[in-house]
Amino acid sequence: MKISKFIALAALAALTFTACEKDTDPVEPVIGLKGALVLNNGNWGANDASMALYNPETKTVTGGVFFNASGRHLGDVGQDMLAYGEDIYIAVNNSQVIFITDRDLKVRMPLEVTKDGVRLSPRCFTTGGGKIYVTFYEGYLGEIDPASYNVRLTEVGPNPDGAAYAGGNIYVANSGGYLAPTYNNTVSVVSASSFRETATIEVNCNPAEMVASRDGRYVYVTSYGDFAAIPHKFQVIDTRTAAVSDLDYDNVIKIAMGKDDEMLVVTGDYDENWNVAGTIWKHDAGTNSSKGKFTESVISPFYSISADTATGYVFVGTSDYISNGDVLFFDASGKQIDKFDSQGLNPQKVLFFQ
Amino acid sequence: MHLTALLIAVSLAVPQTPDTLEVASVTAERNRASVSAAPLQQVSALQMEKTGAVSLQEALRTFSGISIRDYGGIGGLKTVNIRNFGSQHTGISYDGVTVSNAQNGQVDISRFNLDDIQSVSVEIAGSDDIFRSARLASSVGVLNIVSAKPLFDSTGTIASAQMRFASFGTFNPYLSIKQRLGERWSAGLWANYVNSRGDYPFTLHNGSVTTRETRLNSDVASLNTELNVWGDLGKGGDIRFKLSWFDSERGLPGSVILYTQNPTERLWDRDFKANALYSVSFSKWKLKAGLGYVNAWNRYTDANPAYPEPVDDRYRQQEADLSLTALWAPATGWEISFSQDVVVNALDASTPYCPYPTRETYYSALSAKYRSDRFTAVATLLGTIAREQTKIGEPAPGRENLSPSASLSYRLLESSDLRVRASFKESYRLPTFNDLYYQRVGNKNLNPEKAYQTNLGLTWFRQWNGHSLSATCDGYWNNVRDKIVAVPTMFIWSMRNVGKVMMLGCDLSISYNGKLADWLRMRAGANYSYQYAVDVTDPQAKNYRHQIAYTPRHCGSGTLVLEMPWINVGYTVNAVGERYTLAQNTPEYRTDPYSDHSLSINRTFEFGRRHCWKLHLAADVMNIGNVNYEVIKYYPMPGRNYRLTIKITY
Repeated sequence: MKISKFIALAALAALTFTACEKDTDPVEPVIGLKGALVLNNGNWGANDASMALYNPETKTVTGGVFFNASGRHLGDVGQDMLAYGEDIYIAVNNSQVIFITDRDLKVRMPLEVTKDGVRLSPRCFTTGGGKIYVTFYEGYLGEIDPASYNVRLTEVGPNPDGAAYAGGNIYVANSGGYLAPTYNNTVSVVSASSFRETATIEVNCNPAEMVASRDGRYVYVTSYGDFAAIPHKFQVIDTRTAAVSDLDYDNVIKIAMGKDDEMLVVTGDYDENWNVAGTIWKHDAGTNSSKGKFTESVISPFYSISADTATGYVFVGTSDYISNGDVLFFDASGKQIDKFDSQGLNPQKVLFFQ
Repeated sequence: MHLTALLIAVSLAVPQTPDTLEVASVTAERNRASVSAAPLQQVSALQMEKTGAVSLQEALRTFSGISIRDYGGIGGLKTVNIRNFGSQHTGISYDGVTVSNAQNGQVDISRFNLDDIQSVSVEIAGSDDIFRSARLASSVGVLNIVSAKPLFDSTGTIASAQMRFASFGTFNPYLSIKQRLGERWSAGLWANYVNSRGDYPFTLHNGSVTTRETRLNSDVASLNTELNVWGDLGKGGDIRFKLSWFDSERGLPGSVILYTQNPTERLWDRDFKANALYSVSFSKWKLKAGLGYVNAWNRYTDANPAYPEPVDDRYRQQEADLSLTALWAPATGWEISFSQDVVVNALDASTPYCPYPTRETYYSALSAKYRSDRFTAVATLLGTIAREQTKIGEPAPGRENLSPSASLSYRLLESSDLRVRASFKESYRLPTFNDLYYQRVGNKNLNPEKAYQTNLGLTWFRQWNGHSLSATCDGYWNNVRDKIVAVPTMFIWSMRNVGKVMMLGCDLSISYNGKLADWLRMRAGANYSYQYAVDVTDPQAKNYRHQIAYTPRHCGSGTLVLEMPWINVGYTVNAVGERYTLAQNTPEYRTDPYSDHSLSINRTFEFGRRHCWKLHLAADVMNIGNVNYEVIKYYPMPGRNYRLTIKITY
């Protein structure tokens, strides 16, 4: 029992330091929602993923908004969230369900995807070409038709994590997280038209998050290494040549796409209490060039970063894993506007609705 | 203690147990508990049989200050917590030999077989028994399990066969034979097999949706066997050899996950144990020597389809243990003892990065005790030295620790058995192999987790005309420093000494035993515990001064046994107040109070020449209220369930 607990712990560690970025289609006007919608990851095995809504005008936050609207819990490990058209997609990894809700967070349908009778565990979303893509940890990429909610699956590498849409292809980071300690070191290239893997690109060991530049020229990928001999890295794939090169940042732990092709890059360090302290940098994704610090603040204990491509707002989640997290709210210039309690454990992802 | 043991043994072994003898044994127990300078609770096999307790977790539920972390089902992990220090602080002694787990510090008490047990006791914050292995002095408290040594009549054979059927496809045969082998030697062999489908139904509430579900992958099959050889060498002392074998396979159901149910983990265990214990007394001296070896093997698999290759891990722990204890009684009432233990632990695992650690631990305890009619005082100084080695990589540095403890008890009045007791104990737990070396999560620089206990109590005991009544009240102030917790780091978790916990609490108990009529004897007991146990690690944290997870402020239990010539009725209730399942006590993580009631009706028939045959029949109902509760969140407990026992003893 204890062994499984440790395995859960290790898996949790792999999971929680993972978020996904997407090449975002424009967000439709909000009907019901207004403000920052927070997805709390929760604790592995505790079915305590939850959502909160922050109102920037009144600077108040309401917890349990999914539960209140839909009359049920989200489930175990809220991993990713995406707004598309009138819908919100929520990937609940260990509950093996994708909730599709309306703008009032009422569930339109729980999407339970199976392959040969085996339930699949959704992980990260991306969008492009009028479709929604989702990675499944069992080794598949799914394509969801936003009109019919029909799902197609295609096989990719082991334990795919982040994904990004660029130039008619979906790039998938095959982490091999459940192949520790060897992991995997490939990115699958899946053609959107044939919906088949057409190539694999070798990257650093244990790739995780992916972000694409607006024009699709560059796909950025973080990787954790093997936590031993192979270091973690931040790399960029030139999609025209499939060439991979290393970027000059130390200890990149998270990335997110902001306004005007400006990518946010978080580098980690330890503070005096051994908490993870995050420093946030700006990187022009289109020209692949560094633009200095986003803010002088060093944020600890850093947990997650989300950005809104329309307003450039940046939301940084903090967590000690044993109490509710906080979300720090910055405007596009890097000025902190507010800080609020995420009303749940491990704030993983924030979507902003104007 | 020896008087008590003898009395219980006699009362068990002699057919047609005279009432007086049972009263005497119960009285001796209560007396020992109320005289003890540190909280002590005890239950005998006979009491457990009449109450209907067939497992350690059932027996311990009615102890105050003790909680069982129960993951549900027959195969679910069950660990003992003393005053919520965490099970790794609980010392477990089985027939004087420490049972431990160097890998993760958790001992699953569901693996002990109660059918061959003579008594179970728990001591908290100290012990009056200073003639025992030094290692037992290192923990916050000790769960002491003592098996029955046979007392033969003229036939020289004691045999019993038992069959138990229970809900959810559970059957449990047990066989035992004990044989006298000449003047000085005797031997006993028993085997206990449990097989359970464990597929119990439970109710799952998810907001407005309530569903009836079945626990999956909760099956277990286990075989437990033990061979004992006892030698009575007269003036040459007593010797006991024990060999045991435990073999099991079980599913690990894991926590219930909303919207999906496909548990894929399984666990196999094979434990071999061998030990010998020798004791001898002459003039003012008593000596004891123990030698033991444990080989604990397990295999863990996970067929989760997300694993590109299924997980199939093997772990093997070995322990060798030598213990020497000497006690010297220089003058009336005085005893001085010294005990030296050497324990070697080793771990092999097929998992990546296992450094194959070996640890040598040296425990030395020097104790002194003075006991008079009114006064008992005990003081112990325990020294520990741990040395680590690894086959791969740097081992953790060595550790040294010195921890004192002292307790005293004083009878306040000449005429009445009202005593005041006080104890102080410093103890610690060494980091486990997982804490130190687990794949990248482990931290070699961990310090031992320290526990400080101060207990102040009153005990009262009275007996009159075949009745006895006792009451205890203990208040305590405890602190945990350098608590070992997993904390997140940049990419992976790591074990660190960061936690601080403060506890204030009290345990109250009252018990009565007496003959109410010619045809009716009653035993009744009640316990109540209050505990304010809060995290005081960081004043800035959101959980500062919040009740630690899974620690109820209030809990209690009650037992009622009615013994009548035609039938015995035993009733037990266990009630637990609200708890929080997270360090931060937010309403979302509050868990409702529950109470679990059990009822047993049983009778023992005696027949044959000189009543040498005994037939024991018992029918038990557990969780009568069919309460859907959880000890650990999302590990549901079974609802109402039944059990039938038939046992024949010759």
